[in-house]
Amino acid sequence: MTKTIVVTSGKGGVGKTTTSASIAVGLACRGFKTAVLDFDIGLRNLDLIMGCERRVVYDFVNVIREEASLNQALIRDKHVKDLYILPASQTRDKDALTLEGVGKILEELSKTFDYIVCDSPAGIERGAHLAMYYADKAVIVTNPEVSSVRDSDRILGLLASKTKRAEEGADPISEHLLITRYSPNRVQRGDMLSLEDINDILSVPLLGVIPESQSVLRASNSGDPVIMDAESDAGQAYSDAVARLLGEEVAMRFVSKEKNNWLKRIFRIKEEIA
Amino acid sequence: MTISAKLNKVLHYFKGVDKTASNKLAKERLQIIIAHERNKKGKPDYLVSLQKELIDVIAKYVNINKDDVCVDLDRQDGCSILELNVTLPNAVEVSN
Amino acid sequence: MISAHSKLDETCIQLKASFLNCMVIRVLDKNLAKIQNQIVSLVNSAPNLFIRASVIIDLSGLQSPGDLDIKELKSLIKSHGMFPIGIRGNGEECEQLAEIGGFAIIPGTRDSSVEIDTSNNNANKKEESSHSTKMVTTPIRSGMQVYAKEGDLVVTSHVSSGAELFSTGNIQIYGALRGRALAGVQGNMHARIFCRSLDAELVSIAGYYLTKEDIQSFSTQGDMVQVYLENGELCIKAI
Repeated sequence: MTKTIVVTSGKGGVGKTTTSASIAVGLACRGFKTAVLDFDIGLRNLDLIMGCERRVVYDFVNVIREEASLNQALIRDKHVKDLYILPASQTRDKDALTLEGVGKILEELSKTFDYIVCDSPAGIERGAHLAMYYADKAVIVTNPEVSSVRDSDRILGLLASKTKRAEEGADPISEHLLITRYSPNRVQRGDMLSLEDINDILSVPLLGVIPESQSVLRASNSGDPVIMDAESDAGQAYSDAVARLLGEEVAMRFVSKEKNNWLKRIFRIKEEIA
Repeated sequence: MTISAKLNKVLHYFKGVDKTASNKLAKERLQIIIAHERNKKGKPDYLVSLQKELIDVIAKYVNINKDDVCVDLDRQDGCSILELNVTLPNAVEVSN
Repeated sequence: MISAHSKLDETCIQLKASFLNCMVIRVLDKNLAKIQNQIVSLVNSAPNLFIRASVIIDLSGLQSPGDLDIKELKSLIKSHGMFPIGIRGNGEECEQLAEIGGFAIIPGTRDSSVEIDTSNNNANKKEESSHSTKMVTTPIRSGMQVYAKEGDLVVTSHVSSGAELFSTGNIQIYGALRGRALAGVQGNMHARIFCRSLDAELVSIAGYYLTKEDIQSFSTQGDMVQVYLENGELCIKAI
């Protein structure tokens, strides 16, 4: 049974596309045939993060309008086999993506794919609504920061009411919280919301904690999703998150302040943001 | 991390290679993709549909592939030129 | 003969029976200034509830309604967005008022004959045809609105900031209240709000309200509290 996962947040700039890319790569590395779809209307980002921007010929809207077949539009990922990307359209027409059109594409994908990752745009408008509508699982990406937490709460409300499962009274979408840009040092100093604070407000099972890391910027610069950087803390945290998504029990790493190991500090000094 | 990996990391840190490599790569990628997208910006949306319909019409008379038909819009000196390129297969007689 | 005529007629209306769910304004005092004040605070507590709402003016709570300025009352109610559509009450005086105000007369329900003590708010509860509790067991997220029209509202999880709860009766929250809670929205001054932890944006009972700033002056942050109305003022006390 194909599982559709939406990566959403409400707030912009928290790490949805970074997360979608890494989760998609993580699943494909485990042998699952995965498709990752960019639901933004007008602003294309997923192709840059995945490093396939030069191979985009057809996009999401071309497929909906039957100007191209799904096979023609899907781009094969250069990092992992069994991973395919459907880029967003650059059109300005926000009505271009339709509920029926999206439904048809997902149905066609579910014939051959094990996982479909839907990269949602920010906000709660059409693109975000379409990305979450057909989802079975949701990864809610949240920064430990007040407006992000509140927007995530709003999105949780919509996931419970404005989706196919909610409207049909089926089992609700399973919710998973992913906290990104976490800094245990700042939490300890009292400058940043802690995991407990966020849990008090949102009460959603925690999928993972991705630490603030310079490797994320390097990854998007080079077009290689950060999960592929096995040495980086963010990359490892994403690997852990994918494992948990598949049901494995993995201890939460990168959540406590580092002990003062001078050798470690030489290597990590770039990673820590003062 | 293995000892050799750690050493590599130290070398990279002092060489500064790690620091500059990825931003140069980013700049390259952006230059290519933005130039490509700026080129596309002036083109109307209907070009793709136009290409598809032309292929359908031509295919009625001649055996061609989708890649054999190319439609492009150019702007030169304030004048728009619609360019249509059709590559016909070799052993075909086109009746006038 | 009739059938010959009906063949010529075109069907342009249909007669149907319908049940109307309507708000009732039970008048307890003929002083229009006082009525105006209370209506203002009621509407302010839950504006959306009253916009274009049909209301019935119930006069059964007045001993001698004959000298009530019904036209003035009608325009007073209308000026706050509501539409008075009828008068409920028995007797000639009510019928005369209906005539003057241009209202339909709606016969009193069997409930009105049971009421003896007309100034006690408990009588309002008897008027409600059913009293059921609305239960919500999932967290109430920002942007959600829950309205318990007939009775109490019980929430077993937390209420996020940006969420709104309305109830004609009490509101019980077995979690943290960070949003807005409005109890007794149809005038029940005996309604109370209970919550495990009070961090609300606004609390209100029968139109009287306190904002976050006012709540902070009661040093009950984080405790299990109840909010109730006493002598026209809202009180917050730890349980």
